[in-house]
Amino acid sequence: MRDHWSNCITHFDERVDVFVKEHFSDPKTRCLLIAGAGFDPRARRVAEKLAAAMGPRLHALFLREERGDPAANLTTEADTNEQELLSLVPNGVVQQIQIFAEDGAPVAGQRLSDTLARFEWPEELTDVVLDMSALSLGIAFPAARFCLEHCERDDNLNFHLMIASNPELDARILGEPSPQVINVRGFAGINVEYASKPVARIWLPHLAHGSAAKLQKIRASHNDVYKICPLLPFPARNPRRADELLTEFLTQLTDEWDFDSRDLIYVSERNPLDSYRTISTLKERYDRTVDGIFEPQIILSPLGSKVMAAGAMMAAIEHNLLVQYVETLRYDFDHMGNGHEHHADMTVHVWLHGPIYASYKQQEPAPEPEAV
Amino acid sequence: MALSLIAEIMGWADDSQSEATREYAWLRLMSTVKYDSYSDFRAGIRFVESLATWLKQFEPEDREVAFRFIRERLVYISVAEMQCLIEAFVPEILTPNLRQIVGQDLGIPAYDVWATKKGAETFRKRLRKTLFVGMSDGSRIDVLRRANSGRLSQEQVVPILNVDFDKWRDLAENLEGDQGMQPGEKFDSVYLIDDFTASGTTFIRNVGGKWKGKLKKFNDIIVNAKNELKEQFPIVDNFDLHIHHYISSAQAKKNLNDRLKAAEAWEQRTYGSWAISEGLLLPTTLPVSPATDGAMINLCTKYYDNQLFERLRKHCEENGQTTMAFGYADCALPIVLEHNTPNNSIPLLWADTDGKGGAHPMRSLFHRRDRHG
Repeated sequence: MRDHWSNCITHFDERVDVFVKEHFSDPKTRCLLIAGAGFDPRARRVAEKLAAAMGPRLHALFLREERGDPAANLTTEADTNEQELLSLVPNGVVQQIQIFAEDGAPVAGQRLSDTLARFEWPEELTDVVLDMSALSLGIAFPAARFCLEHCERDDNLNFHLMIASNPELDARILGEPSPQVINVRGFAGINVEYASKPVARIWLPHLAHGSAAKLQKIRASHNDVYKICPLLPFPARNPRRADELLTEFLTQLTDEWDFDSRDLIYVSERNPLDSYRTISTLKERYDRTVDGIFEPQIILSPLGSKVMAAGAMMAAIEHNLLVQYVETLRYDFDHMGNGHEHHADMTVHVWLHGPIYASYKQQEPAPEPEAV
Repeated sequence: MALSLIAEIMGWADDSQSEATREYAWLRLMSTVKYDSYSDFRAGIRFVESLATWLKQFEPEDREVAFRFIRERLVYISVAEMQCLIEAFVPEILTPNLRQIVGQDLGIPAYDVWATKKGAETFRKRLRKTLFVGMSDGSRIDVLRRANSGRLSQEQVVPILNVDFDKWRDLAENLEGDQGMQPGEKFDSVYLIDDFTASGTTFIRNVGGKWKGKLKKFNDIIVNAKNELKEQFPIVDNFDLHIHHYISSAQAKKNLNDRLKAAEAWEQRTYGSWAISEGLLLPTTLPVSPATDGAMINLCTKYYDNQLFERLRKHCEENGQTTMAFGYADCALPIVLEHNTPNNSIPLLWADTDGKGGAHPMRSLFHRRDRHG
């Protein structure tokens, strides 16, 4: 069904602008944008592009994540973003999503599902765009799954992911972790509780600046992990970023995780398909390796870059993998960036589903005979 | 023992909570993950031992600057990282380029190419009619082939620049005989693939009004083969030329662009349109500079042996250089590739000299295998 996923149509940076003008300017397009309306400075990037090309043909559902005790300045910035988004997209609505229940339990996925189920989708849509730029993992992943399933029921409905990514800015957004490790809603993986064979787990944590405490909690929740394969960003805008993360996670890697240095996985910081392809290949090989002896289980913890996380999400959907994370109680944002220079946002577009792939299989060359 | 050696050279105190403990852990991790696999290292003398030799050449007060440079500025491209760049070439560079070309051929948007059977079939044929040429050992054509087994034919990949007439005939025969192809079918695009460019000079340069470099050499090969093989020559006139480096500096990208524009005036130019791409574009801020690396710049000049310049005098002077203290073409890069260190990196990383005439004998950390002697 998704033969094209390893080779999806993607656009980057200024090519995204060209694509948006070319595709969404067509008066026949009617699009629903689903995006975050929080404090994140990237919240408006995608909406601005689409609104400029579409005007009243653009509809939007903006999700505002509410956490118990937000920093006052971040609330003000989220209010500003919300107002700006509504002026950009007059056919837009804002829905608040409570991330924690009154007893402190993380309920983001459940609330998101309720919101999407209640939402009245505009009629005669041609395109759905999920903008992951300003959505947390606990909201973006279930939203993507919901939208994909909705769009895949219609061969003519396009589904796109868009992300305004900025790894240097990500490093300035720090979160206080909640006490609980949870499975992302819709990403519980196969149920191994009653498996007839012993379970062999591989854990793929994304090493990201400031996420050590969260990853430690997830690691501590499993006492039997066959292998740990940390994911690092390479190629990356900063060619030393992977080395810097290795240094930041020195204690975990050398003293706590029983990790084999040959098991590091490098995936592109720019192209989500790289992490999709890499994780999919690992899954297929691992399944073959343990087939008939163990029940394989791959656990993803994509806490870092949204681009890498989007690829992991695609792999998780395609192969029904478990995604575990730790929700954030409260964000802090270092606006000054510790004096570091400003880095521009990188924009990514991935076309996940649509009639453009109708003849994708035809382009595959016939396999060559094996060399003797 | 090796770690104690570093501690002794660096003057780190040997107690469990000290700087030494933290640095040991870092050295162990990075050696295992990356540096120990450098192609010139041998059993017994790997990264930590080489680091000891390297640090000892500096006066004690300079050693901290040198060590911090390795810890905080060195960009080492490991085997695994290079593999990523090679594997990304087809899906991330070639495929979008081909979609663009096929879209233009058919008068449709590039993203619509796979929507119809006609578009998909045109894409498949256009892919088969693309030739890939390795420009050096660093192009790792073997890895590229393996990563694209079933996607690229063995008969559209040439591992070396020097293609003889028989090989050209083979390429033509195989292309014409492939699925859906017709007699007389020819390659219409060529990708020249190399591992690294820091200045662009090796690829194309003009010395005293005469063009030199790998592109000139390739163009001459095509001219000769066309003259000899006539209609049997398997590449169309004015083919699309693509130049892909797995890693490129921003300086090289600009230089390549400028020089390829100038080379459009070549009388015997065999290619039509041209394009430049790379798997990893190094940031403009990467070179060592007085603003961010003042102390290291001082070491580069203090421990420099001008023998490096004398050995490369002809090449350096062609390039307008008067010193090699910051590497070939003054690139001042802090980069090491797993199979060799570019001479565009700062020589303190790679140079070995014998210090004739009272100069400082330079000791390499990552010994460079130099083509220029």
